[in-house]
Amino acid sequence: MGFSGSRALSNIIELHRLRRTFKGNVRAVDDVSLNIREGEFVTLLGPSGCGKTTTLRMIGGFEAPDSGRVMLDGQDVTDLPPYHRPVNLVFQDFALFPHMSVAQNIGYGLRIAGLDKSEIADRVSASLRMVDLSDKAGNRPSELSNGQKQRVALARALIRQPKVLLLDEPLSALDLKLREAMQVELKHLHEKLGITFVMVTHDQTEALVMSDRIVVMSGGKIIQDGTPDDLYDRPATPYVANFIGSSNLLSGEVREIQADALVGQVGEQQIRAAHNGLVLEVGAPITVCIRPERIHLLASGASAPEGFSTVNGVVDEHFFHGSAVRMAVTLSGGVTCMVDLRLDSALGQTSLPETGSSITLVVDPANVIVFAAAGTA
Amino acid sequence: MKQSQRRRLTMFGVVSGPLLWMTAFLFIPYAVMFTYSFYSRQFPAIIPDFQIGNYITLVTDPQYYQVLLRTLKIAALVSLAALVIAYPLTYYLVFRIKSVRLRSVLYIAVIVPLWVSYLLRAYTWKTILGSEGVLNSFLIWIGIIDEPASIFLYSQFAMVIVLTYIYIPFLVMPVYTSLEKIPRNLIEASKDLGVGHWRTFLRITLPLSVPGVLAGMTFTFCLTMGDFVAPFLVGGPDGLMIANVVQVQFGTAFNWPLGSALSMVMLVIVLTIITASDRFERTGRLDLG
Repeated sequence: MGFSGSRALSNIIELHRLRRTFKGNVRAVDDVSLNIREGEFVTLLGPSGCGKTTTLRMIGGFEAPDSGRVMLDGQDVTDLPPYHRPVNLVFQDFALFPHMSVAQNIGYGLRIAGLDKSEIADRVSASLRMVDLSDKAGNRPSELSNGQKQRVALARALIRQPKVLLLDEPLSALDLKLREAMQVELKHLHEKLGITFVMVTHDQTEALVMSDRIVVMSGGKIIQDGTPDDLYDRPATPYVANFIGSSNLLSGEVREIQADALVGQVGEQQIRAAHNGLVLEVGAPITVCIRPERIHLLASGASAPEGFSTVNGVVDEHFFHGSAVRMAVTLSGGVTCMVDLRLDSALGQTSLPETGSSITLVVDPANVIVFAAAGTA
Repeated sequence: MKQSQRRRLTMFGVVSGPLLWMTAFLFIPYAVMFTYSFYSRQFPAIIPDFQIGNYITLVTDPQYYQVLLRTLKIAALVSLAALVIAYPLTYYLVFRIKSVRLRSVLYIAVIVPLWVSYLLRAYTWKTILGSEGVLNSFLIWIGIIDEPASIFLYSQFAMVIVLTYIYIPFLVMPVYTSLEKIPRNLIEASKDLGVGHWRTFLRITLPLSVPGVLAGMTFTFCLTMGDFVAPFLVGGPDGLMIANVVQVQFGTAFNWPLGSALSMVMLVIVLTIITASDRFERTGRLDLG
């Protein structure tokens, strides 16, 4: 393989060209390479079937790659079974042993490791205190709530002091309130323990809130890999733009290329976008991406700042989102676009534009991202 | 008619059939037999009576209690032997055969002998174990023995073999169900926590399959207890089992009271085992959801 030489010391996990094909020729994981630094909180994000869980299971040792290597802490573990890897997994539906008590579940990995009884008891009770379940030590898992089961699963995975904690959709079985609380709790736990966390989720909010770095996957490949604000502000593809947060993806073509910007023609509207290094010719088909909250309403009588684009449209619908109101606006030329107005700024204005009224919107070129339309590039 | 009344009437309609059947062909016969077990026999007549002489005979006459003990011993041996064979087989089916199709084909292959007549299947063992049988011919051919050994057929050994063979499916079925019900991620979780195959089996898989093992062993034990064909076909002079004795009491010996008492004792033993196994399974029953 010729892949054991140079390695950045700080990489705790190195995935090298992993491939895994399932029956029926489904490429679950297709040439995935990824380095994870020690202490990072990395999230593999994508819809179901994108290969994120298979990748995680290959790190844990539950799935063998058809080709490629898995390195853990400098050691090639590709051919090692799960029980010889210094990682532990928090399973999606907790996988607590139903015939053991909470304390037995947590101590399971220690008992087998041959530690003496008093040390096991000490570590189990410390672990129970950490997850605030000391009073449930003797209970069976079936007597716990989902939130408590989640804590037991965490404690059980952490008690062997793994170098990496793997989390497979750890919060998906919890209801919304608990999920939000656990997101914060997990993030704090990560900071406290200082070990590497690798999480799999299909929930972009979860990924944005918790991770240091997000790896977006689709169709078995890594689409983009970056910090949450990287992915949000500079999505590499329309897919990422749409998967993380929401985006207006408007098709059009290049109308004009200026020194510091590119002007796109979308329907009857012209939208300026700051240059992002994409080399395009005039007339090339493009997708223009603008976040709904980065579009602003131009107060009547005011003029747009220099260089900003203005577009005209008619308000079709309002959707109340709590902290913001989302408006569906039909731009003249027939393209529909979503615009978020924060309620405080909406109040600063005269009022929320009524349905059917004509409005002028203003967009900063720095907030417009242009992608070459599919099939060109 | 009120809704609740109508519902009760429908309910009654549904259960009355089975209830009538069970009363006519199960409860009444048992009651009759129970009554008979206190009668006395003065050849050639059976006299209505109320005495416990029949039961005393059963516990004092070695002819009877030895057969009873032997039957219990054979039933225990058969359930154990069937478990030892069925459990690894079923484990292999559930955990090692990845193809769902192949797995169900093999599972059916284990069950399908139940469609073949019991007598026929027991009879085939005569051709295997008999003095001109496959086993003897093979042993002579490879030179281990010079002339056919008669020890294989007509012995308790032969009975255990035949009954084990016949009752294996009754163990495979419940064990299969209980193994299949174990969530795979429990086994993965165990390995994730540093525990290898063998200890994962001992700590996770085996304890979680106990309900199936209990159910299966109860089946084989109780079915063996009541068997009278295997002793008849392959059992030797010391191979008589309790059901044969019962048969004789109701037949040639014409001692219905004693036969009834024997049947009552068998009934009590079987019911005790079923209740105990059910109780045990209930307390250990786990929420695998």
